[in-house]
Amino acid sequence: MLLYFLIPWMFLILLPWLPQAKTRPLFIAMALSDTLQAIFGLSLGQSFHGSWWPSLGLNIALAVTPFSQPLLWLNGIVLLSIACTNQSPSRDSVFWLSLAYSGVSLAFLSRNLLLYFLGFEIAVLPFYLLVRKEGGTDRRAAALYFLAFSAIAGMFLLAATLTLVVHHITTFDSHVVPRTLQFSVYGLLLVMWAIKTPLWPFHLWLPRTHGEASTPVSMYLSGVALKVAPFGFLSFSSMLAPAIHHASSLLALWGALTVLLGSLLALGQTDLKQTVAQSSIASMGYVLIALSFGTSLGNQAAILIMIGHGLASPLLFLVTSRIYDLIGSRQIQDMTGLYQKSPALVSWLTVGAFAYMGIPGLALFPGEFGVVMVALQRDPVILYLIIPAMLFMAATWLRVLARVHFGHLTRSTSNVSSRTGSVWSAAWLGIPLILIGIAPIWWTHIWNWGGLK
Amino acid sequence: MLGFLILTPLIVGTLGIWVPFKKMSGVIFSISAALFAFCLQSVIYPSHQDSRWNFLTLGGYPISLHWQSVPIANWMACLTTLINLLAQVYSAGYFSHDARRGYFQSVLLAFTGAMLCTVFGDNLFTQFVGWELMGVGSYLLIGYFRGETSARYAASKAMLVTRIGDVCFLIAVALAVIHHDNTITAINLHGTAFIAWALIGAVAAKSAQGPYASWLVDAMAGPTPASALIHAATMVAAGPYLLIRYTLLLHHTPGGLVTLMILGGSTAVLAAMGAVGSQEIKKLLAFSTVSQLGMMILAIGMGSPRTAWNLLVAHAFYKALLFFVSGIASYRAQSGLLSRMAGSLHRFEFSALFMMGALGMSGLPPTGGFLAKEALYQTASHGLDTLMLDLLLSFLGGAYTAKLVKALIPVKAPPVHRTSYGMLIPSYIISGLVLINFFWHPWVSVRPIFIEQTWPSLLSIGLGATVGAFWTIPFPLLTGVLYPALWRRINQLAGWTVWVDHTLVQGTLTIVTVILWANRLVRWGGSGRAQRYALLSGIALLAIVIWNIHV
Repeated sequence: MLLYFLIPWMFLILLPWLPQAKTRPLFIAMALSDTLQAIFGLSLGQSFHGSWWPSLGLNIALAVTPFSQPLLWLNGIVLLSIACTNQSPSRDSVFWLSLAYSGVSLAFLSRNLLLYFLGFEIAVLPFYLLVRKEGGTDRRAAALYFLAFSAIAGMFLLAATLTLVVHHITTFDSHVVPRTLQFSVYGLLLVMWAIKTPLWPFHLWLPRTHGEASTPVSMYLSGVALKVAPFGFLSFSSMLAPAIHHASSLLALWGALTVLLGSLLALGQTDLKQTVAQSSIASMGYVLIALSFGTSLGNQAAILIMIGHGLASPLLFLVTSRIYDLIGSRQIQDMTGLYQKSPALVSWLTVGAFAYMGIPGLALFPGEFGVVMVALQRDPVILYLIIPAMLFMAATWLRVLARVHFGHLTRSTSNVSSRTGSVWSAAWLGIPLILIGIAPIWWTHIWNWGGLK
Repeated sequence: MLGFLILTPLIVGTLGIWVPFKKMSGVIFSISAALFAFCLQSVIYPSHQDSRWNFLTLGGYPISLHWQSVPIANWMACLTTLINLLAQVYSAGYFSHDARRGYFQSVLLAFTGAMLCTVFGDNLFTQFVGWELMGVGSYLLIGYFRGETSARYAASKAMLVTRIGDVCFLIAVALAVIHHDNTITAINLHGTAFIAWALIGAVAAKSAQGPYASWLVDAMAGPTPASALIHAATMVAAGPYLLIRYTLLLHHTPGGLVTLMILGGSTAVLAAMGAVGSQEIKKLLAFSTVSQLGMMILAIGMGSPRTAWNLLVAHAFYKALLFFVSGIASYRAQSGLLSRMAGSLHRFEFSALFMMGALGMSGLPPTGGFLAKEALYQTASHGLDTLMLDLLLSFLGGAYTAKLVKALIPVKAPPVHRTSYGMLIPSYIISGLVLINFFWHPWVSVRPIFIEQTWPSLLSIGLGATVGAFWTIPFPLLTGVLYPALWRRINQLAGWTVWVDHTLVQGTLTIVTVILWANRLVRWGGSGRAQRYALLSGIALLAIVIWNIHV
């Protein structure tokens, strides 16, 4: 387990001393070895305890749980896909991405409250710098938006964590949280979840950041970094069970509202990258609906959506950037007849779009099905919000497909021929997306969720 | 073994869509033939087969794909694979010069696989998976002619409109899983009324009933072999098939059967009128499909699923035949308009192929359509209202068939274009099946029909034919004018959401700006210069004085 952390840290230490030409191969090597380590080296029940700052309650307590394991795999796969698809990464961006990666890994593995906070914060600053340094024309404002929202969320998380630490609750495994304390902690955390998940109307940072961020940053941010906050919900849920139980219907309603408004927002976009970004809001709304009830069905559904979204969303960001390379535009109406130029890209776009539409055989379907089950079981009223949202989401992606699949190329395309290598790079994300969609039982069996006879 | 039957076409078809490989047509032909052979063997030598695959266990609820061969499923699968095989052969002729033929055939094959998944499915989840994949398949098939705007519109509309039903279906599935109703029998015995209603909603959308009818009429933008498969034995036919499987559930759902009767009956009448008013051959056939599907649902609503099944089988044969022939005719006439089609068929083709289909469609002997219609007539004759409805349907059916026949009557000069055998051979085979269906009925035994009792329906068909042959006024029915309006409304709604977002951004910006200005003011005042301090204090003092003036 320590090796899993050691690889990215060694890489971070070595990176500034390496020549620029070696950056990409080493980045790939690091991502590959750490992904392999995540898949084969980490197994359920492994844990590590070390004392760091006992008087503060900050100790190194790491453990692999049934819910962190899939997310760690996702973390590795997304980083690997970024490493492989990024043709000429600058050393800076590689450094900050790897730092964010190690922070996210720490947050996923941590069983200590303050350690989780540390991981959470390590995964914030790099994105600010990355957007600020390598974004589009309006990158300064976007980076500031991201930082401001994240910093406020971080403050609330810190307040909640410190409240617990003051009462000598330092790990996620403790079961004794006084009832009065629970509700104030839950309230503080709710603000953090609302901002970082995000829930409407605290989502404003997300489309703005994605609008300006470079492709690898968008991929990693929406693929993995977005899952740190909902994963925190899972970690906190055991100790805050009564508070979660009380607030569940409210939170589910909020989540459903987010799903509905997120799909409508996605439908209202004319820019493909914005469409992908806004669709994320809808997907994360599903995650919070699933989590809000604290049942095992809901938690598993939430993880499945996180995995599906964590693969579909980076895939679509990647495809969007390749389309931009080809036609020099991200506007959906400029993509008419794209199939003539690059059928392979259109295929991958179709896969991603169908995943968002919830077609069986792709990774988002099992999770969404789980959410419908949870909703029917606990709070059928929210189905009135989810059903139109599903239709709007279908409309959103059909509108995109209606452009790329039909018509004739009107826009003069750039001379950059679609490099076959870059087209197949989508397979890094697309193939797991399909594999998980076809046979989710294999994966849930490996993650020890039970059920396979 | 059953699992292989379903997965082979799905996997090979999907692969073919993605990666075109050499000799694809040959591989697909042989798989189609093998599928049909297998299904035929399983109806001749029935054996109980069962394939179960655990898809997922979520929170302790098992969700599994479960296929089971029961007699009706075997027959339906046989029908589907047969029409698929014929459509594959037909498309070899239809697309003989098209480079994307392999792609088309792959989609057709995968589509058939999805239908088989629904047909053999023994729980709602399995049927739902096939149902959804059929939706994807229909999107690709209808949108085959990518250069045409009509194809884009029709494909998107088909997917989106059927999606409304799919969401209903999804909720039914989730409900069944939660209640541990994991087989069709369990759902039939103690499924809740909600499942029944959700299924009715799902079937209405997929089988183009009621307000959903227009997607199927627009779907004519797709190639003819695809239309033949979609109309005859997959996708839209899956709706009545599903309801036949869940008849018991519908029986103990209060109001369920009556709703089906009203839905099916009204759609059948309206669509038949739409067919009478059509100017294009494919549109006429599409309207007639909607009408015939309405009759099947009407039959289920009247409590006679066997009649519905008879209608389904007869319809599958004659509608596939009519599509095949209409494809040949419009290929020769270079037009799909009824007014330009005269003389596009040889005399022999007209009598041996086209008239068989037309007789079947109107419900005249010697075809399976006659027997199915008479069975419907017998079922309907229990009540005066249903009897009148059935006679009206016969009248309208006769009318639109007469219109079609009139348009295609051969003239002296034979058609100039030659047609490949790939298109003709499947037509002859299926024409023979329409005839055979007159004597032989899969799965059910038909009640004896006394020829002297059939005169009322025959009379109304004849009357309808007389009227229809001279009718030229179009009926603007079931055209789906509401959908573009609905689409605009949805986009408006999306626009408002985006506007709210912008307003929120502006609001946040305003707050930030105010804070920044306050910050600047404090820094400017607190810079240590006495003048600024005095000025600010003076302004503040003045403000307090003004505030406190009471005149």
